[in-house]
Amino acid sequence: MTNVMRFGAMIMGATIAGTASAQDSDPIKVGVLLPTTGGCATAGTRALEGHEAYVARLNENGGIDGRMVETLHRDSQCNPATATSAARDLVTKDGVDFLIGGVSSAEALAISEVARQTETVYMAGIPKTVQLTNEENIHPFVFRSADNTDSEGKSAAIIADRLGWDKVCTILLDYSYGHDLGTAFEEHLAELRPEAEIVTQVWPAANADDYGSFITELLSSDCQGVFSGIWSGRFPGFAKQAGAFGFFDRFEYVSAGVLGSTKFLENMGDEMPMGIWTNAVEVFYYPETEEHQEYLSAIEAQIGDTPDGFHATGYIAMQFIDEAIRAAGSTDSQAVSDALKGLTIQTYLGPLTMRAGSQQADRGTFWGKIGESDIEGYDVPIMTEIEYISADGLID
Amino acid sequence: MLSNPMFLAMTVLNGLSMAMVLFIIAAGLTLILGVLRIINFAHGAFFMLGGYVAWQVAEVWLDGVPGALWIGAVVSALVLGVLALVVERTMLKHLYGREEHYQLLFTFALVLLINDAVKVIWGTDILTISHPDSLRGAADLGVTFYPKYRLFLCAFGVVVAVGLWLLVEKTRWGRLTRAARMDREMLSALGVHVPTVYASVFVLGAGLAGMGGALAAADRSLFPGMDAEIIVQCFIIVIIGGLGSLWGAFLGAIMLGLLTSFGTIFFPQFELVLVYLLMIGILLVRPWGLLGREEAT
Repeated sequence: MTNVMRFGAMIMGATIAGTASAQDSDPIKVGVLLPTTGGCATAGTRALEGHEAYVARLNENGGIDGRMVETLHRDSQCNPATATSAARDLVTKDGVDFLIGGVSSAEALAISEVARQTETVYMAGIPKTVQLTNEENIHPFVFRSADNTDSEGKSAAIIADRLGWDKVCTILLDYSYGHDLGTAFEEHLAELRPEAEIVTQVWPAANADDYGSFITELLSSDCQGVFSGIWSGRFPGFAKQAGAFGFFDRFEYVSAGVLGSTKFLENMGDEMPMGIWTNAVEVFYYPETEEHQEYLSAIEAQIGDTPDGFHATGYIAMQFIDEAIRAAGSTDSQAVSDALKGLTIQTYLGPLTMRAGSQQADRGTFWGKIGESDIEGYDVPIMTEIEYISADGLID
Repeated sequence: MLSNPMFLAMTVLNGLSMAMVLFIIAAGLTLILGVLRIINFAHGAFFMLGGYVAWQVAEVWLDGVPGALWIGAVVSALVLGVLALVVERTMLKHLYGREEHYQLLFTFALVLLINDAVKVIWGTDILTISHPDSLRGAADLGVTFYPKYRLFLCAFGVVVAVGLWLLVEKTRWGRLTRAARMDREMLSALGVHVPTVYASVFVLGAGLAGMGGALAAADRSLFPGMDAEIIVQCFIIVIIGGLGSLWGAFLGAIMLGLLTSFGTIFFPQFELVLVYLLMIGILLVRPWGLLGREEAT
């Protein structure tokens, strides 16, 4: 009996010693779950490039406290079931120290559940659903570096208020993103502009492709402006149909869903309706600051091109993990989780703080009006009159 | 809202333009079903592939050339026709007369193959084709203004319907297909090469799907998986109208289109259910569809 116990103690001792020495030299493993196939592959692929750009620069400069960072990527296929099993494999089989990723809200909720069970810190860089970090779903290991539907919808209400809308229409997609966005927009507009009235609301299905009936219904309404949640993946079809009806001449249009994304505008070209208001995560032509230039050169070194907003999501998610490990002085989940709460990092946007209570970064978005380019050699629509609307007062 | 004539006219036209695109696709499906007795699950995938081929022609190879979309639509129909010929001659012909689940499995395999091929060739980004220059913007119809391209779709659907009717009713080829549908053995005994008739029907059906895909792509958008919704709608149309009936498909498409456009406005919560309720209602009264023939047992 005593022999067995001694043997057990020896093994335990050896294991502890082994782990301790492993921590000094082995790479820090980061599990990245981003879809590179499926409906959200465009966003996922770019976020992964952004992540890799950050890690490449990090490792060039000696890693984190002397340890290199190793990325283990799994394709989550924009599918929560795939994301769950891939996340579990990454933690249990590959022994990753951190999880990053998810594009759709469903993926994020799935990964967060694995993070809760395995006590692994998870950073969501893209998903915006408020459900990820609401009272019901929050746990010590889930964090979000993305903005959320509250700050996106409320900042849109700020634009609507400035445009002086008293009669407002909305066209939002009939799933959680659309509903959360609509609620935030309505709440904040009611605060800013009590006299404003929502006169017509239409809810196309998330995968709708024929918007004719919805456009018709809006055209028969007497609203001044339309707030929309038709995001960049769905917008091209909508824009073509609505444009043929003269929709964008009739209404002022404020759209969430990052239509100001540079690669998106490059793809849209002439088809992009001018004069509409929309948001973006990042655009390479604004702001002209040193931090932003540094970010641009890091991405360009990786992809040989100017970035799209989605690159920034992967880049900043990893930056939070990096600086939290440094602050904690370890890769221990609990220590990093504690370090993340209230952590402020310097980004191209200026300082960004991970709020302690909501575990949500105080990230806002850039808003601007789509107009002609005044950048030499860049002949596609750009965002003009750009302004960063911070999340202060819009979240929590 | 119905008292506003502009609104009413727009809603009717929304329904009709949607119906005519669906009809062009469903016509091919019902033709194949009527003659070959094959439930072609891949018909939606043919539609999707047609859209992508048209995009390749109109937005890449002939970008900026006047009439690029029309050329794209013709190329789509031809490409899909050739593809259908190859599929029919090398694979599908072995399944005639076999149990139905072989046919279902085979056409479903085609769906997966085509979807993967589309992802490999064109990626997963959503693509669109511009409206042709001549049909940009809206036309003033007096009571309302309405997008020209959609008016074109309405008119073109009618042209296709009449053209197909003439083809099936007034030509020798049409008589052969009708005969093949009624009694394949007898037709063969009369010295007609039935496999050729079958192949030609499959080619025509796939060509219609391809052209429908091209024309729809100029008003909608292209993305992998877009075939799933359209194939369900087309099956509903074919079932409502009666299996194998051309005018049945025409009527079914119009009913589905109008029900969707009015349903979206008046019953937004139940719009999707309405279509199924319509189908159930019709099948309860006429199990063989509106214009279908009761099968002799």
